[in-house]
Amino acid sequence: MTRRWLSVLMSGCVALSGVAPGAFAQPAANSTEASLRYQFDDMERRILRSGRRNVDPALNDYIHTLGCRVAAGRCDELRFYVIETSEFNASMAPNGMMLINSGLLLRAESEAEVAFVMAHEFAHYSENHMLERVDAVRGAVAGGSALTLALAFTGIGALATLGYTATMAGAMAFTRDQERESDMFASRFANENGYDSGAGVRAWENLRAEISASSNEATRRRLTRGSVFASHPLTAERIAYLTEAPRDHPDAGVDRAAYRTVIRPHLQRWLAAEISDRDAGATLTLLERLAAQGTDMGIIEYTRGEAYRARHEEGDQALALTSYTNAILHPDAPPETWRQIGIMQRRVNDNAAAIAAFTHYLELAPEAADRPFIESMLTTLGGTAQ
Amino acid sequence: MKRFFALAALAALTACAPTMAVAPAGTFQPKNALAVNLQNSWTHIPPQLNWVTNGSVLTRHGVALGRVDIVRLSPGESILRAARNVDVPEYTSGMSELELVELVTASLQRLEYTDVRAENVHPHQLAGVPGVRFDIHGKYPSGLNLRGDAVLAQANDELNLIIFLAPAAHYYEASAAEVEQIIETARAS
Repeated sequence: MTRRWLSVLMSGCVALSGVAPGAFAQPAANSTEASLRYQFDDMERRILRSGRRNVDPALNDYIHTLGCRVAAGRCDELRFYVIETSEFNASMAPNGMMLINSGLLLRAESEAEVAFVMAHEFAHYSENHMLERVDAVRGAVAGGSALTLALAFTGIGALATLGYTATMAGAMAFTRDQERESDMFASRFANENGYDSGAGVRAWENLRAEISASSNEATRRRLTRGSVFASHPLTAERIAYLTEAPRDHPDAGVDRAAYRTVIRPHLQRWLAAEISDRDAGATLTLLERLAAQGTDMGIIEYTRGEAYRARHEEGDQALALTSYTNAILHPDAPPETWRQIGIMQRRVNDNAAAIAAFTHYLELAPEAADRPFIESMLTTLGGTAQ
Repeated sequence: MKRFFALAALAALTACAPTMAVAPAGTFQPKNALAVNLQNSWTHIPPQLNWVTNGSVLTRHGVALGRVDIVRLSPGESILRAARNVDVPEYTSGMSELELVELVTASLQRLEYTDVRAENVHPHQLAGVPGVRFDIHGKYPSGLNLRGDAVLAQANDELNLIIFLAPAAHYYEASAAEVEQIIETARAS
């Protein structure tokens, strides 16, 4: 039965009506595959309800279109979900569900990079990597315990209490050979579809730079112990073999400005999530790279100020104030920039500057959630609450 | 005799183990946090059994359907109980009131609540100490709408906070008045 389902998936001839989980051919009910399928379908139902799912039609259309290009004639088998979480990751389940984290979309600099990662994930699906692993476990143990071992091996047992998609990354711990195979599939896809296959290398180099700059020692150790995906080839190793791969269209599909336009509506929220992660070293490195395009500088400088403020090391408050001051030179600076300037001026007892900043903040954001508090501070400082 | 000693040792260990217990109506004094008054009995989850936050939890219907966290933090401590080497938002001495708001919302985001927003942020006293209070809105990881309240005040390099979280549908309103009394009767022990 395993082989039959494998062959069905490999043939690309599964029934394609609708997109609901489990809408196409199912394996026998008592098989390992059916259990896997059931659990991933159940996970997908949770994701459909989850507050973490990004439901912006424009972004989802973009990802769907790109995903269909990656999947070529098998698009109807797949569902694509953008998940709001800051981790650089994407994952693909054998039931046709692909998850793309917002952290990946934030860090990608171009469509070519996103396409590369999606092609990599699609390869796990089209090459039946998870089922290969389950099959390997089945071959190694007596039939009755195969399912239990397989689920334990892949971590799927944890899905029963799934609260966030990181669990899926654990469940999808493919072998290094499978990861390399997926990388090479993505490289070929790029070459055959007019994308720069070097996009994968750039994505991994950027991630390596970010991890190297992390304020968290455990995060930095990932570079030598394995990448963000625990079983993936070491970052340096995959950069090496991807660099050696053929590159037919250098710099194709790497229109950074066009890609930034796609993610711009989400940029501030995604960057705020980075601040919540409290890794100033990594965040500042990411911001430096995002700033290189020279756009969105109000948001980027504001976030830089937030990173310094949250780090709270000696001299950071001054650095934060400088960043906020830089931010307000740009029209896209969030209103909160003025509030933060007010707080910092109040801290150094420059009441006049604090009053001016708070007042301007309320002018820009009259419906601000913290308006009652800001008005109270204005009164205390001797200003006039509006 | 060996069996007797084994049973005695087991009994002694059991006596030391923290357990969930009923916190009866009246004064409730959580370990290392503000004392409060309870109108009715609640279930108390002591810090040792609270794997989510650093403090005591009171619940009426189960933590998924409403929880009141009563927490006291020193500088460098987090609302969240996290593994070592995991970066979580920490309390720092001298945080501004709006940074305290962010401490709560960022912590809740790390607990996989989504779309967490602070609304109606305003000055408020907690246990007689000037602080900040706000409404919490967001979603549970399951997508269920979340509502809550948070009150925080810092004094003498310590932050006291009370956070109430419940599903917006039914459970928030069911306990809101009682939680209000918990907040208003909070006092340093």
